[in-house]
Amino acid sequence: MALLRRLQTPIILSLILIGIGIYGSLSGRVIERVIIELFINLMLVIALQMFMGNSGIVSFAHVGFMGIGAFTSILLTIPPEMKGRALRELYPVLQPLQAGFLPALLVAGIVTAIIAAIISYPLMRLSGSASVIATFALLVIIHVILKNWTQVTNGPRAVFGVETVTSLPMVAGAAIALVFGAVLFKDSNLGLKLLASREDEKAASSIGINIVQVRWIAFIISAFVAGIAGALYAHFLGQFGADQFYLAETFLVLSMLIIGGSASVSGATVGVIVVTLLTEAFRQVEASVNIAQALPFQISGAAPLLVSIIMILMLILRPDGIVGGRELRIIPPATSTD
Amino acid sequence: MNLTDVLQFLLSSLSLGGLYALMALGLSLVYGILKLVNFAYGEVVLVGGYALLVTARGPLPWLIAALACVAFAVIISVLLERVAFRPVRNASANTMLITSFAVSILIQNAARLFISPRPQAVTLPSFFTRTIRIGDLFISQRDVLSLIVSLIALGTLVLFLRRTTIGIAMRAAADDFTMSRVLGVRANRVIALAFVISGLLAGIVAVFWVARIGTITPEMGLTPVLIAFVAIVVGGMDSLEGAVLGGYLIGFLTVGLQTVLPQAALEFQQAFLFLIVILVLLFKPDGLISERRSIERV
Amino acid sequence: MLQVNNLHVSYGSIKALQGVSIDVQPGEYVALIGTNGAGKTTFLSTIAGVLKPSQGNIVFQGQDITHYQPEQVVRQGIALSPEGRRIFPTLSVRENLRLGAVSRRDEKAIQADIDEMCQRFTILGERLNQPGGTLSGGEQQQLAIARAMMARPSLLMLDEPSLGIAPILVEQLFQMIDDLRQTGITVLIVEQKVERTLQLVDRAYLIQTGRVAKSGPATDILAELDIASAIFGDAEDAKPS
Repeated sequence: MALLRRLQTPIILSLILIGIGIYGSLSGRVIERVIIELFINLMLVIALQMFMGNSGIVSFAHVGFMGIGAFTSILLTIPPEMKGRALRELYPVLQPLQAGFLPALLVAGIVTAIIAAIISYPLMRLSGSASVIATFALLVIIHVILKNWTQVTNGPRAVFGVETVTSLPMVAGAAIALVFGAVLFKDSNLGLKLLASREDEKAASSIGINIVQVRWIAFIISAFVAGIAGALYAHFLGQFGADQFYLAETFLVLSMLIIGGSASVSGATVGVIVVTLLTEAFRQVEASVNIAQALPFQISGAAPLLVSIIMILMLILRPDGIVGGRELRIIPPATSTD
Repeated sequence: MNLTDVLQFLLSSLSLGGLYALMALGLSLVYGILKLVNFAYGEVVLVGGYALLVTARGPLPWLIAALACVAFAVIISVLLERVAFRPVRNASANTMLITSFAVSILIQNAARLFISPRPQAVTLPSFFTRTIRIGDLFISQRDVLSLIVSLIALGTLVLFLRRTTIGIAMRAAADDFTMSRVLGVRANRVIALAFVISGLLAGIVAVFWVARIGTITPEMGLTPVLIAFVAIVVGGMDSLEGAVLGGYLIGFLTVGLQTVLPQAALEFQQAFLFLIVILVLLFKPDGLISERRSIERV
Repeated sequence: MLQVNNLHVSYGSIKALQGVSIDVQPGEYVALIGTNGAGKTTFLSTIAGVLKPSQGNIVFQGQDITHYQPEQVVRQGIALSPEGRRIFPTLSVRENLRLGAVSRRDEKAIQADIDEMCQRFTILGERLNQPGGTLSGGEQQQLAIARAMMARPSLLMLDEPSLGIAPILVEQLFQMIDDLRQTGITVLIVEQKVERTLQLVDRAYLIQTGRVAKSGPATDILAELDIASAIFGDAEDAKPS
């Protein structure tokens, strides 16, 4: 019972996600792709939730880490003989590298985590506006490097010819595992320390919590997940460029997290589902308006516009998100006196 | 490096730095009072730019178009305060910041949807494109004008902030907002005024920014606002003087790097500027220029 | 002049004030005394409109000002010299004083009042163009009081005026506050220097854990504290509890 009580939230969320996954696999190719993208976004949003939701610090950098993961993985999965065409100015040392898809995912996560570990440690002592601007600066730096380091990322040109091996069961499985991981993380010793530092920095350090360290570890874990999500995304798209991992994607994942509620894993999950649904609904409307030629001109881009309006309304009217910081539960949580 | 090169360098740096300084000051005025890092500030420039685009195509003199640009920037700035930022004024700093990020994306998407995702060429008067040659020195009229206008704008603003009561009240609000209210400074009024001035500055920047690049895209506001972030961090987030000096400093640095670095390295210039941002935040969080925090602690 | 009835104020789940009622008559000097954390600063901040009470009301000169914003409160004639002085560090002394009168419109009289403050607090006259942040603690305190006076308030609230001031200057400061009596002003003061404060004021309220524990003429309270100090030690340290 105690175990069930602890795991009820990820179980409920998994059931919902399995339902979505089954729906996706029974639907046509278009909807299946939407749902694969939903699961990849969910991974990133939960990665962000693990850091942001628990530490209270906004990170703009995670989509950059996603990009690092994406490029790292394709350097391994594009076969050496194909690299000449896909990445024309690649460093010769990188050319012979090769690994299978799953090892490449893991390496992408690890490389991203290592890079995040090195650059983020000093940043973890910042809070408030300074930390936001610092992570934003990190995103810009990562973007500029990804976009211009022609010898590694093919620079401003897109990368072509990545095998599209990312499948629906794969991303669904990864996302569900992550939901469990994120809920357990939140209740773990580290997660609780992080929460304490969010509530009151001074009080937390006065009871011996090393705030910089707990934030740092959480940041590395979430960067690891973001890296894997990026690798999956790369092998979903098949062709992509550095611009895929910049402000538009950052806005999308932030809005998913905020609209759902950043303080809980349930909020992150609900946010991803709701925003995906809305976006798709708007796209449908847009498409039918365009096909019917109801307007004298073609419209495009109404979906992101409406998502941003909804996000602003949420921030004003319900800043804690749809779920409001709680986790989905059926059995009430154990009382603290047990 | 001969005298001509030096003069050329000074002119370019001061003209670009002036625009950066105006942007940084506009951002810093609002940050000082509300502690809002306004991501949507670039879109204020964008809206001004579109106003310029539309009016410059008509039969009106170009000066009128420039004034329309400034006017629309002011209007959108004040409107954003009223509609988006006032309702979240008492929320956490993160909520305010993400709101401004959402507003920024909103305006960009609206521009893509209702205007065009593609670059729009702006009709520029010949005055802006002409260059005067003195010996080996090529002087762009646009740069000279931008240098002069930014100096006039800064000078006027300094006078306003020092000589008028409402100006003093704004500086006080930037120092300690609650205390200024206890003395009787009306919160809504100074905040609205901060957005008016910040819109005015963005409008002036929009005129010259558009004149520099010649076209308008929905993403146009990004570069100036990013540079302004760099400038206010370098100058000290809380210091208005710091923002101005930071703006000029980045102007000199940008032009300097363009002169010194090879093209391939220039691609990474923005990364380099943001690396400076992180280093300043880590090691000199009050900015490279400002000294007031140390005084205040006495 | 000022009636505060049953004031409750909380910070989150912490109840700082739990039903404080006080009454101040025109021209009176009234003190709030009590230990640190008893809620005195909270009380003044609430009257000034910075904090919002969860219960109770504040009536000033017949007007219910309970829900007024800070900028409205000062326009009713209540000025606050806050704890920690909160001088604007980048503004000159003159600008700090000018802002004290930001609620007023009579520009000429304001200039005359700045001159008057410079005579009353001579050090301010000498430092008129210096940034407020460069002043010493005692000088800043005088500036904070002068700045509050610039609003021409009928009620002046002083929060811990002696805090952080060199001991030899404290007596001088109390003298300056006493001298303000000739202007006919009403003063509500919060102070740690209990004995000296009770010599200054007419009446006092003893606040303990968010409630009024005692009130009465200052001489009575002082006498009670003297008895307590005779038993427990120095009156200045006598933490009534």
